[in-house]
Amino acid sequence: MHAPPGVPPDVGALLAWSARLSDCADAARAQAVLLRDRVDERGLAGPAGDALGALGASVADELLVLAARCQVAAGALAQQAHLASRSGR
Amino acid sequence: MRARVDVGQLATLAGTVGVVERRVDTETAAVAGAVGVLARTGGAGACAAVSLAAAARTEALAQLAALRTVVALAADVYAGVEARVVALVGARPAPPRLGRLLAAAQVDDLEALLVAAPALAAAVAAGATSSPGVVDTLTRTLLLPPAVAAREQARTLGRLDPRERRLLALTEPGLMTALVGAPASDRFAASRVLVAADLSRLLQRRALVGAQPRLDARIAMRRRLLDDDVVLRHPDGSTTRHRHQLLVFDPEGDGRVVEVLGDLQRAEHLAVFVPGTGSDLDRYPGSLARMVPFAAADPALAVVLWQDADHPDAPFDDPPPPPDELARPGAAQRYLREHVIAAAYRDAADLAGPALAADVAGLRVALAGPASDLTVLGHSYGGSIVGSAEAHGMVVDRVVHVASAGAYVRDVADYAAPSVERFAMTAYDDPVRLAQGHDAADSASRLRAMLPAALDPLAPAVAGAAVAVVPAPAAIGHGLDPDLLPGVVRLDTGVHADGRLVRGHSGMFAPDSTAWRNLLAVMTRGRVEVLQPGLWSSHLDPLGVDTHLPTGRTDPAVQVHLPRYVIDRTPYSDPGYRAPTLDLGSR
Repeated sequence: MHAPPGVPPDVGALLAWSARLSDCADAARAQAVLLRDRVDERGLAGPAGDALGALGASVADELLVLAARCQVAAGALAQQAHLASRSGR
Repeated sequence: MRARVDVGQLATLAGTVGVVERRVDTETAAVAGAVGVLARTGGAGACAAVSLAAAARTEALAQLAALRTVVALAADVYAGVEARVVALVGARPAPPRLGRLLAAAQVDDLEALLVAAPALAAAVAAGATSSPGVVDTLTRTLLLPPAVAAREQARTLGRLDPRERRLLALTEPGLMTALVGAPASDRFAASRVLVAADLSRLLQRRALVGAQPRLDARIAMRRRLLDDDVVLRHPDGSTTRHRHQLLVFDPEGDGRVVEVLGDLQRAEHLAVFVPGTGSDLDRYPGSLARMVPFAAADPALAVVLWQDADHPDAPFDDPPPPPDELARPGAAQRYLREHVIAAAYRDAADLAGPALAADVAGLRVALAGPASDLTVLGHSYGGSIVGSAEAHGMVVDRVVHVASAGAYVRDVADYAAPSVERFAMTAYDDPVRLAQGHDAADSASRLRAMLPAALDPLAPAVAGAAVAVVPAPAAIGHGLDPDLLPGVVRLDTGVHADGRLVRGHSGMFAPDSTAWRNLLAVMTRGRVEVLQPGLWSSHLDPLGVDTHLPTGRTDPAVQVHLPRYVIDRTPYSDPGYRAPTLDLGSR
């Protein structure tokens, strides 16, 4: 992966990065699930508790956005690796 | 609001959020690494996708940090150690993107959270985040003339949906309470955040200095503003209640506060009441208690208690400085001027009048329904403030001077609308009569009237000496005696239910009195009882000495009395007397 500047990475490196980003997506998704579960058991009732729950849920949503974007990026890298392999690099 | 809470679980949640934050940071670090590498070697599509992922990671981490702070604050607050939390917040600025995080909450729930967690409210009030474009636009309106500003604010805020507007109120509470044209309900919500923030500040102070009666009273007052309802007991025996509806709350200095009493949805009349000398946040509950019965008396009436300016201090509100400081050049005069005889000067009215005029212009826009019939009343020094507002452009339907210090002007032509309906009431034995219509120029004749006849020859010298000692004598006095304003309707102060005369400077606020009913009638455009001055007489009893046989050790045989008005004749000595009435609704 540590190619000199201006030199395209090899197919193996692209696939390795794709795998790492896919792992990132899995991690973000897992943390989103954990956060949502814990916020549901926040120990605070009433409107203030509802507000806290809403805040936690919104952050969990943000983690799901991160997971989705990591997955898209992983897919884009895999696609680039595929194109590179077809062009013989 | 006090919610049921499991502090242990909240603390666990705070820990969990911290764990999630660390895991996301480490387990998605490859996203940040990929950006640097692929920018040089990746294809355009892959680069863009990785950049988006990196931006999402930054946002998620920022929100996790903010959430961790919020949960920790809530846990600490609910654990009853608010002062410690305040110290924590004070040492650390609001977390990044706090405003954006809070924006995700339902606005009603968010208001409850901010009120329940004063330390969090303090962090928000200290400078949270909102859309800078809207904030800039609204801030610029503060420079416009009042009526124009109010309309512009209403227009700008009207373009936001209600949720956005409420969010702005909760995250920019200081700005929202300054926007006189903003919807009242949004200003109420903003004020609650400011009260909660001030409660946080006071708790922090108590943590430093310990319990003190005055400080504890202030803390209790803030808690009442947040937690207690205003209870309106109606004439038919029913009660309604609503939360405190503050349009303004600012604890700086002596404090400023404006509150609406009553149901704005039902109200057809609006009355703005300006109290007098010494009106500060500490005395606010007393002024509020006087106004509640008016709002309760008629569901078609809403009352605004207005203290949105610095009223002059009551004598000795602040103790004199130590003798060595007092001996410095000008210090004694300054103390005299600001803390002993401040109410004699009209300069506080000079400043408060334009503020009142601006706020009333805002009420005309924001509360257009009830403000379509608008009365402004000033009690004591508040009368001079109302006069100043009239001289600075305020136009309303009716003005009432209640035991008023003065009309502020010497000629009604100096008012924006000279022909407005004006009313005045002053009890014949009210000491404010010593000041009404007088200023430093006639001090010699006033002193002569107030001193025993034997001291008459000294009066010019004493007056001259007083004018020489008192700073800025030209600024003393409050214009015309309101009872003598051209066209004014003088209202009868009358009697209490048991037949006693309404007396003194504040007797008219007893709800069983003729005076009180007259004030209510003006506010609701009802029927008033008009004073017949020809049936009353009084005289000024100068400074003197009373002697009598003592009845006990605590009853001195000799007592000095200050100059006072004595009522010699009243039509109410005839139990059947009824003052003539005037129906304002038919005028």
